[in-house]
Amino acid sequence: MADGVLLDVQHLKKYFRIGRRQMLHAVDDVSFQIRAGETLGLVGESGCGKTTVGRTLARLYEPDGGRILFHGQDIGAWSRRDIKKNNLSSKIQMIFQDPYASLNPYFTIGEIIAEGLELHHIGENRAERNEMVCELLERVGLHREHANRFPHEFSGGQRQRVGIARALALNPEFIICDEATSALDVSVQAQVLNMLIDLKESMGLTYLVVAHDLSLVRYISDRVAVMYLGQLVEAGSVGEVYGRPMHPYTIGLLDAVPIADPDYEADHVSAPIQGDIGSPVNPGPGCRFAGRCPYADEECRQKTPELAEMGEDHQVACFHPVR
Amino acid sequence: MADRLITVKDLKVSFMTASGEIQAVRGVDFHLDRGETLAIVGESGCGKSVTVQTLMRLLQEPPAVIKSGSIRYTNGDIDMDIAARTDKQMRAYRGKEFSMIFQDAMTSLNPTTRVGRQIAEGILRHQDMSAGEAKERAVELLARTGLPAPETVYKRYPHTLSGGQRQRVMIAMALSCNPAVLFADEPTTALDVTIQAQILNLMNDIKRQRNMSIIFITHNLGVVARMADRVAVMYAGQIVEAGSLRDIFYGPRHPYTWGLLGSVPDLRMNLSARLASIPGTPPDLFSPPAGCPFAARCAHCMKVCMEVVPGEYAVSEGHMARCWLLDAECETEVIPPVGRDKTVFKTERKEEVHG
Amino acid sequence: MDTQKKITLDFTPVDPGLKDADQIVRPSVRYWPEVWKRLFQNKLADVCLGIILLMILLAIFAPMVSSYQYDATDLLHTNGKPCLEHLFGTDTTGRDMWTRVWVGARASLLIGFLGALTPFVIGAVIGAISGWCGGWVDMVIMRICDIMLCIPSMIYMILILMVMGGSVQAMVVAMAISNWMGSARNFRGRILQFKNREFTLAARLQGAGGLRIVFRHILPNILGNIAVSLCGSVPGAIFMEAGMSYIGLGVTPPRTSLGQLSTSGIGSFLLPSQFHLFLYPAIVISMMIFAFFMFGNCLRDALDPRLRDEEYNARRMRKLRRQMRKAVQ
Repeated sequence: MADGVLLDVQHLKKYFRIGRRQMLHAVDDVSFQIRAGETLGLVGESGCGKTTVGRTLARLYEPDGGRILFHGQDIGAWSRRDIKKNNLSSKIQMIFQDPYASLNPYFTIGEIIAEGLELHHIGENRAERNEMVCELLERVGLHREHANRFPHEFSGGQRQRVGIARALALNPEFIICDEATSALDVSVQAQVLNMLIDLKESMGLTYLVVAHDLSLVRYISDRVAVMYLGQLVEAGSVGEVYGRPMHPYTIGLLDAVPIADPDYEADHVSAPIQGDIGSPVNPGPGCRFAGRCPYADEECRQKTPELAEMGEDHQVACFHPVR
Repeated sequence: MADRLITVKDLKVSFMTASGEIQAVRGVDFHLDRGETLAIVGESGCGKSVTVQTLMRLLQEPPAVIKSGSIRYTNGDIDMDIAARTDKQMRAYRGKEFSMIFQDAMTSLNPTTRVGRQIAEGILRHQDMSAGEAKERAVELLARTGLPAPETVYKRYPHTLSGGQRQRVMIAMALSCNPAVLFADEPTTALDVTIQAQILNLMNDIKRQRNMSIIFITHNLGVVARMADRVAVMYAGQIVEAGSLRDIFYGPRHPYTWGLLGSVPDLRMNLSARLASIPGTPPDLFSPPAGCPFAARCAHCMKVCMEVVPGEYAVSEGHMARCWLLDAECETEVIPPVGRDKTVFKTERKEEVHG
Repeated sequence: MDTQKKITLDFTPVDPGLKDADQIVRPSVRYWPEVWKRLFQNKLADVCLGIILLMILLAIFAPMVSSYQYDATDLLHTNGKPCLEHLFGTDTTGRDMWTRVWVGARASLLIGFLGALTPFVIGAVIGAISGWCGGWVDMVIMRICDIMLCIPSMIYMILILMVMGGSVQAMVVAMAISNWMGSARNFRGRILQFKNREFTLAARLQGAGGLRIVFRHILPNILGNIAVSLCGSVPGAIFMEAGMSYIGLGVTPPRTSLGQLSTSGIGSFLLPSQFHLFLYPAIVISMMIFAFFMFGNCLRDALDPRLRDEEYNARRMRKLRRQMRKAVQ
């Protein structure tokens, strides 16, 4: 195993049963590594299983197969008791998508942030914990007076900053940002993104950024993994994947993103990928993208391509990579 | 002279709630010509949706109240002030003159009726046609929006369609009576990028073919660059800057527009570059600030900004911004951090300011 | 134009440190105090609460201060009309109806409260376990629930009352056994609704266990709903007791309840001289049920502020229309 790998995910699987015979293959044999101190971006369209990956890594879901090695220990095999005993919550934390649903409306901001401190008996007494909460609030650019207010009094961006403060309260090493800014307005989004970058540097954090916005992932990540219907189709450093995309899906995805430059848009002829995203319920054999892929042939419909090394820190799962 | 369809003057809309008046739209002026796309850009709560819903009189009144202003609509024989019309009078024009597509297609379609029938019903309401003809026309419209096998889609229920397909059905429905103006309220926000690209291409094709006018509401500047001819930037219930697409992207004059343009991550930006963010949050329209609404978040804020709302300053033909920095009396020189055109000329105030 | 003075425009820059863009201008509003305020602003709620409190007080104190025992017969004054001596008259064996009605109200109120609360608590615990654990536990509990719901509740009631005899305790036990399923289902549904909310997931990530999540995080979110459904089931329980008394399975004489009093009054319903034996217990029981029911409705309205805004706007529109009419005239 390479040095400095914080999280090593091997052949992770997570299925959901829907109805009697149907299995939703939300995550189907996904492997990747995250080195300590780096940010991995996980991008894909809705229903591709990226959120499920995040939640499984945080052990909010039970994995159905594969290993999740965190510091070399397989946390995927831990029981609820092991999770409690080993204090997993002070190592892995999560920032959620919806700033309106992720804060309990009946708790004050202070109570929300202090919950983890209280549960882990950090701080001697209430006053000490209050002081820690105030420090956390100031760290995310809010005022200490805000501790006594309720979530509904805050705007979306302010709430998301409360969510960040809560995630930071237990001093974790690894934070999963599940679409953390997709519900926010652009100006506020930049504010939260910059805050995440600053916190990463000052606190030595490692991030998994789950998002559907390709430009956002490019901005915040060091490495990126592209998911399609439960599987990784392309992974590698940001420069490689965005600079020389090889999988037809990644290429189509990048082509579809509108760019805030009228001259570029006027010249650019967009040829979007046709058709709809398939269903992850009981998928058949073959490449999952074959139905929409302009290069698909018989081989693609029969066999599933594996991620293969195509360059320096660049893996592609395709029989006909575009070079 | 361009064929002007809609002229909005000093529109003010408030919501009356038990806890007080929320001033959602606070004096908005704009116009729309035939065959052009006007994009209204702004953050959530800036009043862009309310403005457009007022143009169609779709707001529930009360709690919404049109406080002042006029909305003049002229097309052929029709010349009316929408703000003075009642909901009942407006019914005859909805669908025929204006149509609308929403962000969430699922909630705007009736879940218990086959999509084809929903389209055909709209056609029958406004046009003199037999049921058979209406059905034929509906299938034709579905085919026009690029749906594969339109005859089968005609018979399906909304929940059996994917998000992209539903949005296409919505577009088919909106086009059913050949409206002159199409309002699109964040039509692609809920869609994935690949589907979004398909829908945007479709809308551009249709607009070109029918010489239709579109008012496109969005917060995505990339979508604006792909769709719009003219842009209006809204903030806290006011249009702070308006101009042609190139004016806004290459020569923006308002600090809020600078902030917006600078805070969007771009696929082509330098990997080590850092986004410019706007600090703080938009003001609460429950008690809007006395001066410029952006003053509290603006890096170039002056005393006057906190006290008096700036008027409109004409930057060039068709390009307007509401910012005290453009006033001839203002001595501060600020170079726009974004855009290509970095020279700012000061202009004389149009109206006298009274306290 | 003379009245408006031209103000000087000051173009000096403002120090960015002095501005506060994250300031919150709206006053802080807490949820429950707001609910209480809305509830007590509603006149109907005040009246209902007044009736309920008055009845509770009378049920507790009226028999205490009365100079008659509720079961003391006085054969010299049978079927007495209401007078100052006997406010509600006397019954066929000369017992003071005023005392009997309020002793009966004691039993009815007790059955009402306990008969609503006990099945609710049992159901809540079972429903919470079912919803939170999920899987086969949920499966088994829900199937037991279904089976019990298939058997008419009247059968349990009659069986239990026959075994335990007619008393307040027996009524409460019977209601607990026959009514917990509804509340279990309701509670399970609510838990499931909140189980996968992001704030619950966040609490799990903070290290909170199942009990803490159910009680500290989910319970406050469904408290309003609980209060409304509890208020609704109190009159149901009172009514149930009256029904049981009617078929002779309620509280047995000489102990009494409002249901039993009205039932025995029905026999003399058509005789003008004994009409009061039916009238007073019936009025008290009706008012009791009405008050609880309407209070529950008011509570529901107070919990949902959207209704309040609609009401406000309707009022405002009515006022505007009145002004318009006046102006036209």
